[in-house]
Parts: sequence; C-alpha cells; structure tokens
Amino acid sequence: MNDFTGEVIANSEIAPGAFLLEMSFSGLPEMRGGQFAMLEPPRDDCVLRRPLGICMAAPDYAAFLMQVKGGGTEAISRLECGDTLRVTMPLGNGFPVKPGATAAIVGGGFGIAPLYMTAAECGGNVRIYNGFATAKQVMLADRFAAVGRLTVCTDDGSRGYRGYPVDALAEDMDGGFVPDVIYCCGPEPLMRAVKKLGEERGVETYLSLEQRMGCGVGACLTCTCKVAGHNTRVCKDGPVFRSTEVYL
Amino acid sequence: MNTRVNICGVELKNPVIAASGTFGFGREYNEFYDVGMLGGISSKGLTLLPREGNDGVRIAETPSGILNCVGLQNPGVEAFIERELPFMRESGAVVIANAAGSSLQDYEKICERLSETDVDMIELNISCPNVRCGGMSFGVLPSSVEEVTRAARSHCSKPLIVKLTPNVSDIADNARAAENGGADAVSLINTLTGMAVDVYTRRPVLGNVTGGLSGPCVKPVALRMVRQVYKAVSVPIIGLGGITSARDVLEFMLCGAAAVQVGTANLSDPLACADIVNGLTAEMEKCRIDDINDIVGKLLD
Repeated sequence: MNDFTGEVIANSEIAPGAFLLEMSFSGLPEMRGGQFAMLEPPRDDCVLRRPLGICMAAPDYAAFLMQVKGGGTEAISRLECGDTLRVTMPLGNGFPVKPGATAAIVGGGFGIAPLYMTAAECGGNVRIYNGFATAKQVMLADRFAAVGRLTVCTDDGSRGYRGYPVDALAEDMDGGFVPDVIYCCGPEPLMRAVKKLGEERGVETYLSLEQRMGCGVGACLTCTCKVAGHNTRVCKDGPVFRSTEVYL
Repeated sequence: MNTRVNICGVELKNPVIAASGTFGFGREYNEFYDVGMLGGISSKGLTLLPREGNDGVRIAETPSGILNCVGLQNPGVEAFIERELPFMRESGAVVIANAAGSSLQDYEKICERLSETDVDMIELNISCPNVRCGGMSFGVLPSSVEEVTRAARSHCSKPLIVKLTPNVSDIADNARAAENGGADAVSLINTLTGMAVDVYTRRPVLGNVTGGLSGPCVKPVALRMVRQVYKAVSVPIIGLGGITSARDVLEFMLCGAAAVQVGTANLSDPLACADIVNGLTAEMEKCRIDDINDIVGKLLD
C-alpha cells in the first residue's frame, strides 16, 4: 500500500510560480525517475489530488517540483515546514533505464522534474538538455549538472543555448553525438519534436505524457491517451511510453 | 451491532458498494486494501462490444466536485466475463454488473448474457450523460424508463437494479416507471450534467463539451431525490451522490436508502471506501444505532 503521510521540511519558490516541495517520510519504497505521486491539497473543496512527478527520492525523503496553476497547487505552495500532507506514491511505470547506455535527456519547463532521477540512474554517459522560456525560469541547473553534461536552453537566449532543447540535441547529434536512448518530458510541442527527431534518427525514444488525472491509480479512465490506436491509461499504463506507440 | 443489509435477496456484509465507473473492476483498489471488505462492487458500465470512450479531456475539477465525460470506455461484456468477473467473484464482495446499451436489443442481450454468469445483480445504466446513443436518453422519459426496464427484465434472471438520472423533471415518476417495468431496486443518483469553461481559450474544458457532475457538491440534491423516491416506490433504494464518510452513509439511509454507493470519493482518496466501512460502527454507536436496517427511511420529516 503506497499511501504515506509526510512532513514538509522545505518549500521554496525556486523560479516564479515554481516550488520545490521537500518532505520527509518513513519507509518509502524504491522509486524511479518518471514515476509520480498524488498529493492531497490542504483544501476541503479540492476533490482531486494533484499528480506531480517525483523529482528526488530516498527511503526517508521525496521532493516534488510544482507549478502553481490553480487553487489546489496554490494551497500546497503555502505549506510550511512541519505541515503534513498525504501522498500516494510511487505511481506509474517510470523511464526504462538502460545502465551503461549513452542517454540524451530532454526536458521542457516543469517537465524536467521526473528526469533528474532518470539522469542519475543512467550513470555516466548522459547529456541533458533542459529548456525554459527565459533565464528567470531556469530551475535546478546545479542539480542536473551534477548528474550529466547539462545544456541549459532558453527560448529567448537569455541563458545558455538560444532555442528549444530538441534543437540543441539535434545539433549535437549532427556533430557526432550518438545516444542509444532519448528520454523526454515537457510540453506537447517539445515531445512531438523529440519523437520526430528520435524516430528519424533511429534512436529509441521514451516520452512521459501528461493528462488531466482523476484517481491516479488506473480505475477511473479519465487520463487516457491514444496508444497503438486505443485509449490507454496515462496513470497506470504510463506515464512513460515508447514514442512509436503514441500519437501526439 | 449489525451492518448486514439485504437487497432483493442478496446479502451484503455492509451497505457500502463501490459505484460504477469509479472503481474499475476492483483490481486497482485491491492494491491498497482487500476490496472483499466492501458490501459490493458495481462494475464499470459494460456494453455489448468493447468501447473506446470519448476523445479529449475527460475530467475537470469544480468546487467540491468533478465533471467527467469518459463515455463508457470498457472492454465489452464478453471480456468482462472472461477476464474481470473471476477476480470480482473471488474478492468476496457482492458483484453487481453495470449494463449499458445503445438500443433496447443491446440491453436485452447484455442482460441475457450476464444472467448466464454468476454475477449477483445487474444494474441497468440508463443514465450515462456522456454517450450519444442510448445512455441517458433511455432514462429521461418515464415511458421509456418503463419500456427499457421491461425489456431488460424479460431477459434477466438476476435481481435487476435500475440506475436513475437526476436530469429529469420528476425523478419519482421515473422511479415508479422502473418499478412498473419490473425493477427489483433502483439506484440514484447518476451524475448531473454540467460544463466547465476555459476563459482564456474560450473553449469548453471537456472534450465532450458537457460532462457529469459528481462529488460532495451533489450530495444535497441526491439526499432530496432519495427521499422523494422513497416516498414513491416500495422497491429498495440504493443511494449515491457525494458520499465521503460513514456519517453520509447514515444520512442516505435515513432518507430511505437500503444501501449506498461511493463513487467520486474513490478518486479523492484510494482508501475512501475502506475508511467509510471501517468508520461505520463507530458512527452507528454515536447515533445509538444497533441494526443499520432500523434507520432506513426513518427521517423525521
């Protein structure tokens, strides 16, 4: 049973509207990059839990990167140290990591959250391309730089590579970088571009999809996406799918 | 203290049934607790053939509620019988198969097929607001409720529950029509039709434009309707609509429900049904109830 009550140990706004919520737990199971958690907003009128990618994890610790979007996430953003919160995790399949493989990791905005642990799980030969709108929105660059060769990208060029992270990856591949596998999470246009790049160049590509979610455990069938032509549960059968299986 | 209830000759160990469409076939929640502790499980709505459901966004949160427009995605009645029913049967909870059709013949065929199996009861879904053909269109006019109930009844050898939609002028008329058509019980309420709007894109949030509203926000409507129906029919009533606690269960039973279903609460909290069942006797004690059946319909109004 993956239902836990944890205590907030830090909740800081690391970019405008972006909170890194760090919590302590006891007895967490092993959790993988790409798996997610359902967090119960501290508001009685919020019926649904909020699905968030698990950004960092240890047996007694988990951290979530959260965008404030509405009343529920706003309430979570106001949690202070010592406050408690119910969390169901780990949920979903996670990225299938191939130890020792050369991996390219492409993240866009809040989509970088589940990729940190994935990069760490890959081990040495990892290149990470994280994209943001502007320098102000850049998040967790120090952390990512510690688990792979990081290229920060901004749409306006205010920091790092000017342009989308998929273009930075394509340039590196043109220059001789040959990844065995690509892992991606981000806005749909980015994932569409990464799917195209990976498939054109014959690189196995995995995408972590996002969809409005109900139960988060596979029962309600509200968070479906088309996989091989059939409506498939993002929460239970995903959220990570092979790019060739999904339509974007 | 007694929590056992009997609905049309089927005994449930407690009055808490997981509602159709929120619980799959029970497998996912069985990873969190033994679903055999529940009084019953009502399956995802089953159609004759497999169904993909609606495209686009299927859920939106509203104050104290949700809208959904899943559109009866399900594996079809044959796959249910082969792959899902054995698990449900094994679980120890009473098995209710929720049957959804697009035509009278569909309802007849599904009921006939399910009657050949060891499901305990059949719940006729004539109230799904999210499908184009059938669904709620059978459940709005009393004459059509009676017609589809009669058709199903003549092909059904199991206790037959008719699930009613609240999107009607007088739900008591529809409950009477179900009773006249041969229903052994009625369940109510299905969701209220509603909409959510995105002001920035100027589009409806839901792919299907409209969806069904459920959750705590509909509970007052559901209580009122259960009471109305209780006064109109003599068949047992299964009450549902926004139940999240053991106290809510007792409220519905006071209004006339012989058993209840819990739906949206399962989405809020995977342990919701288990917590409600576990809290039932403590709540009964607080209310000085020894046998839960004693309070059915006993609202002092």
